[in-house]
Formats: sequence, C-alpha cells, structure tokens
Amino acid sequence: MSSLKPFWLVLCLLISASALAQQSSLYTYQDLSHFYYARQKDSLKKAWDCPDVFKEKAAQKKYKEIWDGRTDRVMGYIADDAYVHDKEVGDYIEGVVNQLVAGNRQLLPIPPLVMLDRDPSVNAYAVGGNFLAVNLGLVAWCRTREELAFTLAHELSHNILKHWETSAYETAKWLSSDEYKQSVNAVLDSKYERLTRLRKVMETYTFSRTRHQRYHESDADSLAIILMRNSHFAFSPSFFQRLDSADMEYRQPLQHPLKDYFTVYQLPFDDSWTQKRSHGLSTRAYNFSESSNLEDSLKTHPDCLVRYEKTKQWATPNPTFTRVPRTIHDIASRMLIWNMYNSTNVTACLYRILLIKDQGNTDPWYDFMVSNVFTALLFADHKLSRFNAIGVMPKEYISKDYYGLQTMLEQMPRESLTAWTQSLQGQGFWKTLPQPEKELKPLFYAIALDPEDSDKNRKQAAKTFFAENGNSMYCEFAHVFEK
Amino acid sequence: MKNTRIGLTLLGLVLFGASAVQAQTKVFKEVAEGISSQFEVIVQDDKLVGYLGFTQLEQASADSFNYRISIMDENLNDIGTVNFRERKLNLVGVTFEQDVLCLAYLKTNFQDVQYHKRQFKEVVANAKSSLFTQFISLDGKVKATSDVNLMITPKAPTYGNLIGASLKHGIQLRNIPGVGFACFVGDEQRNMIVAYDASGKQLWKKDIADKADEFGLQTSKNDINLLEKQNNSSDPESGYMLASFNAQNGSPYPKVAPKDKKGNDLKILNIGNDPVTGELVLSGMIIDPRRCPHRGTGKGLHHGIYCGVFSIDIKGHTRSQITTNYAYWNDESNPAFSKRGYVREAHAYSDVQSSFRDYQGNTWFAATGIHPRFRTGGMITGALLFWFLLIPPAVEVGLGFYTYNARDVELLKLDPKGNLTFASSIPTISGLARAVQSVGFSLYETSFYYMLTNPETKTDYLVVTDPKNVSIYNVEQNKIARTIPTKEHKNTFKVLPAKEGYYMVSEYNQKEKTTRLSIEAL
Repeated sequence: MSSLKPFWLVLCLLISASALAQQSSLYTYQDLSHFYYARQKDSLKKAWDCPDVFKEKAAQKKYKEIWDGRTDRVMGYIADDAYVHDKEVGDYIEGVVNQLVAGNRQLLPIPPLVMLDRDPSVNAYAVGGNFLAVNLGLVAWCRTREELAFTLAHELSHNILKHWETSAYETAKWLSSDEYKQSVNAVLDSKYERLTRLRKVMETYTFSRTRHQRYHESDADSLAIILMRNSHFAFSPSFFQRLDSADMEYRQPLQHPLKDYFTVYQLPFDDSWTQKRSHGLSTRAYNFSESSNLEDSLKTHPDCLVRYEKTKQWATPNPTFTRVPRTIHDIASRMLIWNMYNSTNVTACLYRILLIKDQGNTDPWYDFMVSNVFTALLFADHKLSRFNAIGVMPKEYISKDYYGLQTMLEQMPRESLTAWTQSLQGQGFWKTLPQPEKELKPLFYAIALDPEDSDKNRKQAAKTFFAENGNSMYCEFAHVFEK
Repeated sequence: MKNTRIGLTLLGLVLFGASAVQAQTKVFKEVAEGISSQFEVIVQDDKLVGYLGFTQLEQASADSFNYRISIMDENLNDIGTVNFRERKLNLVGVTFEQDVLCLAYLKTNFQDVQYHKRQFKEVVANAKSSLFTQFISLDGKVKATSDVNLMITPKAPTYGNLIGASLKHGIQLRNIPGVGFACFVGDEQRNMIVAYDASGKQLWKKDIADKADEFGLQTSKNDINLLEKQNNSSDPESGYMLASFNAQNGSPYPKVAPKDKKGNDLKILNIGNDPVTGELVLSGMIIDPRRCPHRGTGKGLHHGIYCGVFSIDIKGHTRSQITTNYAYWNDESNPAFSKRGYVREAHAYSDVQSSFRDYQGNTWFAATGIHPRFRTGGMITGALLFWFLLIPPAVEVGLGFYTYNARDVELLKLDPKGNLTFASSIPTISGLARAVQSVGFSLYETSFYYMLTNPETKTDYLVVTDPKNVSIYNVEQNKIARTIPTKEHKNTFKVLPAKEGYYMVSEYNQKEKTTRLSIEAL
C-alpha cells in the first residue's frame, strides 16, 4: 500500500491542478481594449505630444507625421480590441516588469505602460513613449519567468535607448533631404526601369535602416542582460536557441495518430480524408528558395544563433529558473485558442488544442472548443467560406500531422461534418462546463445546425446569450450574430 | 524581439511620407501606371493544378520590359517567383508536364507601341513577331525558351493610340501526357503545330495546309489532335474535320471527316478525352440533311434541324479502332422524343450547348429547354387588326404561329449501348423575352452552364448560373447538390472551376474594392 502513496499523491496533485485550471476564469467582455483602455487612450494621446527636434519646417512636419502615425496606430489597435486586460496574466507580467523597474531605477524612473496583445505569435514590441506590448503567444511560449523577463528587458532597452525615436528622426531626416528628393526626381526623369530605380532608392534606405536596426537589437540584448542582472534575474543564452524555433509551433508533431483525437468522441473517422487527393502543384517537390528568399540585407534581426554566441559570456553561473505557473500558461493558451477561434482560424486553433491534449490536459473546455471548431467549419461551409476558415498552409511550414488535419478538414464530406457537429453538440462534456459555455450551446445550434438556417434565429440566440451573460468574453463572438 | 509592427509602420510611413511631395506622388503614380498584371490558371490534362500571376513591371529599354511571374499552387498559396526581361509579351496559356511549366506568349516589337502616323511605315517594315514559349522548372529556373517566327502586320489603332497585333488563329497550348507540350498558332501566312519535349526542346514543327475558319487543339495519350471547322456556306453548322499527329515525330494519321452511317453531317460540340481511358472522344448533334434557314432559332428546332445525337471514341487510327454511337429521334424509334426532337417529358426542344463523357461511359448533353407556345392571343389580335386596320395577314404570319421561351436546363443521356434518354430538367428562371421565331436563342437565354468533375467520387456536376441562383447539379444522382442565391451577393458573385473536385467562389466587394476567393468542395 505504501508503494501506492506517491502515485495517489501525484494523481491528487494532477486532479487539483486540472480543477484549478478549470476554475481559473478568463477575461470579461469589458476587458477588451476598446472598453478597458478607453481612458488610457486620451492620456496616451496627451503624453505622446510630438517634440520639436528639427529646425527645418519640412523635416519637423515629416517627423510629426511619423510621430502621430504611431499614436494613431496604437489607438487603432486599442479600438480594434487588439489588446485585452486579464487580471492574472496582467499581474504576472506586471510583477516581472516591476522587478526590472525596481532594480533599474535610474534607467527606468517611471514604470512603462504594458498591454497584452491578443496575437498568437511569439513576440513583444516597444514603440517608444514608455509603451510596451506583450503578445499572448509569448506568454504561452515562455517556460520560465526569466525568459519572459529577458524579453521584456530587451523591449524596455529599446525604449531606454530611444531606438524608436532615433529611427523616426532618421526617417524624417531622410525623407526631407535633398538627396532623397533628387533621387526620386531622377526616377521621374528616367525613361526606362523606373520601378527598379525607385526600388533602389527605397532599398538604399531600407538597407541602411535594417543594418542599424540589427545594431539596435544587439545593443538591446546587451542592455537587457544588465537590466536582468540588476534585478537579480538569472540569464541563460540558451533562450535564443529556443527562440530560433519559436515559429515552429505547427511543425511540432502530434503524439498520437490523428484519428485517435476524434474517435474518443465516438466520431466515425475515415482515414482517406487525411490523404491529399489533389494533383496540384502543392503536391510537387518545388523549391524556389533561390529566387524567392528574403535577402540577408533586409532582415531586421540578427540570427538567434549569432545572438546566442554574442551573449554566451554573460550567462549567469549556476542559474535557478522559476517556471511560469501552470495557471498562467493555461489562461494564456485558452485565451489564445479562443482568440484564434474568434478570428476563424480553425485549423491552427484545433491543432493547438490537440497539442495541449498531448500534454495530458483533460479540461472539458478544450472538448468544448473542439465542438466549436466543427460548428464554425460547418457554418463556414454553409457560407461558402470553408477554405478560408481552414486557412490552407503550404506543406513546408507545417508538420505532417498539421497537413493531415488541414487535408481532413478540407476533404471531409459535408454530411460527415454535419454529423460530427451534431454528435459533438450532444456530448456529455457540455454538462460539466461552467454556465456561460453551456449557455452558448443554443447559439452554436442556431449557427450551424438549425434546419431553418435563419439569421433571425441566430440573432435571437445571441441576444438571449447577451442578456444572461453580459460580462462573458464570449459576448464578443455573440455580438457578431447579434448585429 | 521581432519588431514587425514597427517595421510595417515605418514602411507605411516611408511610402506615405514620400507621397506627400507632389513630384514624388507623380513618380509613384507613373510607376504604378506602367505595371500591368494578368492572372492565369495552370492546366494539365484539362485539370487545374495551380495559378499564375504574370506582371509587366516596367519598360526596361527601348524594346524590352521587366516581367515577374508569381506561381501559386491549387490552393492559391505562393510557391515562388521568377523575374526576367523580354520584348513585349502577351501571355496566352500555361500548362504543366513532368514538373515543368510551359508558358506560351505572343511576342512582338510593335504591340502597344505609341502610334505615330509618320513612323508607322517604319514600324511595319521592322515588325517582328513570334510564338515565344518558356519552360520553367519547379526550382524557379527558366530551363529553355523557344521562338518561332510569325507573320503579323502591325495594325493602326481604330481607337486609342497604341499599335495592335492580332493573329488569324490564336495560340493554343496543351500538355502531352508523358511527352511534353503542343502549341497551335495561325498567322497571316500559315497555320502550324509545334511540339516540344518536357525540357523545352522542339520535337517537330508542322504546317497545316488545310484552310479552316476555326481550329481546336486537343492532346490525348500519344496524339496531337486538331479539330478543323471548315467553311460550309450551305450549312454553317457542319464542315468538321479531325487531323491527328504522332506526338513524338509529327507523322500524320488519316484524317477523319465525321459523318454518320447515313452520310449526315455532324455538329461537334465537344472534343475531349474519356476520363477513364484518356482516349479521344467527339460528341455532338447529327444534322438533319433537310435545308433549314432558321438554324439557331426556336423555329429551326421546331422544324427539326437535328435528327439525333452522337459520340465517337477514337482509340486508334484504323477504322476498327473508331467506335461510333448514334441515337436518332427522327426515325420515331424513341418514344421520349418526337420526330423533330421535342422532349415529351420536358415539353420542350433541346438547344444543346455542351456535351461531356462521364466515368461510366455515358455521354451527357446539356441543353437549354426551348418551350414553344402557340400565339393564341397574338393570332386573335392579328385577326382583329386585319379586320379594323387592314394590316395584311402576311405580317402576322411573318411573326409566326409560336413563341419560344428559353427555360430550364435539360440533360440528355446517351449510354454506351446507344440508348438516348431524357435524364432531368434543372429549373432556371424563364427568359425575359418571349421571342418571336426569327430571334436567335442567344438573345433570350438567361442561364449558362458548365461541367465540373470530382474524380475521387467519379461524379460529374453541372454548374448552372441564372440571374437568381447558381445551382450545382449532381448529374449521376440526378439532384441539386447546392443552390447559391446570387441575388444575396448583388451580382458580384461568380462560381468558377477550381482544382479537381472543387469550385472557386469569387465575390467582389464593391465598397472595399476587394475580391474574396474561396475554394469549396463539390
């Protein structure tokens, strides 16, 4: 019996972790940026008043255009709900930022404004003006608090070193320079090869800018390591090795045959759906890398391996790393999946769900999302948009399993898709879901399975959901049908 | 980290900033004006395998341009680009064989050149033109090019100010399965076929001595076939001749002048390949030998201009290898049809527009139903007009006793045993005008249709478009698989052929000036 004790302990921990994951709530409808940051928008606009840096009127005008362009762009992102506030994830990021600020008071006298971008790519960005945005994709990807800290420190370094401001200054200077005007006028005067000449004018500038930007990235890496050290964060250059494969999410293979992920729901699976039947060019061995690759001179960032080599010497000896809490990962990945679903990116959304299932996650929320994916696909099929909902990706960017999954979603007959959607909407996991998820079910039925296929019914179902769940994050989805 | 947004912001600002100065705006505008693009489908064995964007980027010198080819797979994903410089090119076709893309162009040194009356003689004297073919491998390399000189006289513009170039018979390009490519072209002096292997090496070139109004190129197995439509003043619908050549060496096979066993002329509606055997199939209408001045009208059908339908399978070049299948209605042996081809069940004549072979060996004929109706009201009105206004009865007779209404798409099926049946009628809305006898069908038909195939399920579909709906009709199952109301999309909606087993939905958003494309399963 005693030998079973560790097993029970692990099991209990797993169950409690799973229960915790299920309990952790996601953001509310009012946490979307156009609601939540409505006030900050005005103060940000005031704070980002363009300074006078040029004596020449034309250059200052150009500088102001660039400066105001940044403000408009960020305001646009806020208005379009590109950002979201989530208390738990936000607090976690803020904790890391605060530690960096506390350790570097001289360089960071005022804490930055940090926003959580809903984008799934592994990225963060600084646009000057003490503003920082962290993508949900990055939060879900970072394994340790230190990895997140390094990314944030790197972006803060861009702000400290005024990289954006310098870049804007140089752009304005160049665009208002006689050299630029002359070269553009020379294009106008030329009879032949105007596009090539114009491109050369642009490339001369772009090359100079990207080359500087690459220096900027190295500078930001170096300063980030100092900020980390001052704040007692351990630094490991192996982060760059991992970063090198950050965009390979969809190249990651699944642990089980594709069929197994669906037969657990008793869904009849036909292996032939995953076999590509096309004789098109996508099935051929093409390789246009020589004629289509991005020239090295146009890359904005140095290679991750170069960055690894450069920062190797600054590695913290005997480092200890703190894992990003499971709840943060869970919230981030659920938000990410929901946001991908909301933007009708169904294959990527479903593949992420399957990858999470591979980690042993049994949260019924993911079953709920599997059901939603097929509902969305059926709805897209009704609306002649299945192809766009699937977002077919070329085979060289994805794993064999992803390819199989997108082929399956593409080739699955409409009748089977309807049967799967019906079956999934009748599965037992719905009973274990929280109230807002349960109350979405009539809307999902109205969207894809209602024999009347009526916009009126969809609108009514969305209205009913709104009335009962005005704070739910799903209101954003329901709102589309309510309109 | 990766600063994508800033990058985009700056790029946007660079362009925006530059456009703020008037002179610079002019540069961008002028540069953009010099760019022209065209979108082509890449076809192999009559199946769509990809898409290609051909862009003329700019004039590179007095007589050359910079071009870019963007190659996309059948899912519209970019797979690569190729840049090159050439004389003025007009892309006319793209095909694919053995991992090589073959592009055929009309190349000239005068097309789209500004017209000046004084210099025009010089332009004519120095005019050069050719059939230009380009062979591109799937690693983005132009493996070979070929030029075959053509005789085209530059044409002064009838409107606008650019010099034009036109061929007597346009360039046709096809792949030859397992061999390479075939090209047909006709200039002011000759018509010819040029064959290439998959590496772009010219295999042979042959002048076609026959004079014909139209030519149709089709390749099948190891043959290159040329269907010629010769001018026949006594019957404009007849005069077909089939010439075939060995794809490898160009040696000609005996010509086939299609006629039925009774010597009746045949009107060929389709030259294609059998989807199972890949062998050449001709199909169409058997022309009634009685002369009729009303061809192409309701009265003509009422008169009985056709006496049946046919299909011919050409498995080889000896008589025994040609299998014919004729089905007649003028002998009154088929109770489904009247002696003049009136389809009893559909209450209409069939204006057959297209035909195709299915996977079961049946030949299908798709037709617009032409419904005759006796002009009772017209006749009474005519009698009254004669009585009161003395309008001569000849005028009334000239209008005819019947009106003809174009409605519904009818499907006739000719099985391999020669049994012709009326399969079904796909409802479409009626033509707007109840045309009188002498008005051609084309003026009052409101629908058009074409065939699509799902090779996996071996199912054929007829896509029927009328002003209200696009109906995708499953031919084998005899039912409408999908109806798409076009009115919802405000006339900016098209259903086009796509990769095998799929169709493309194209929807133009007038407000945003964008086109949404989606490839949907049949």
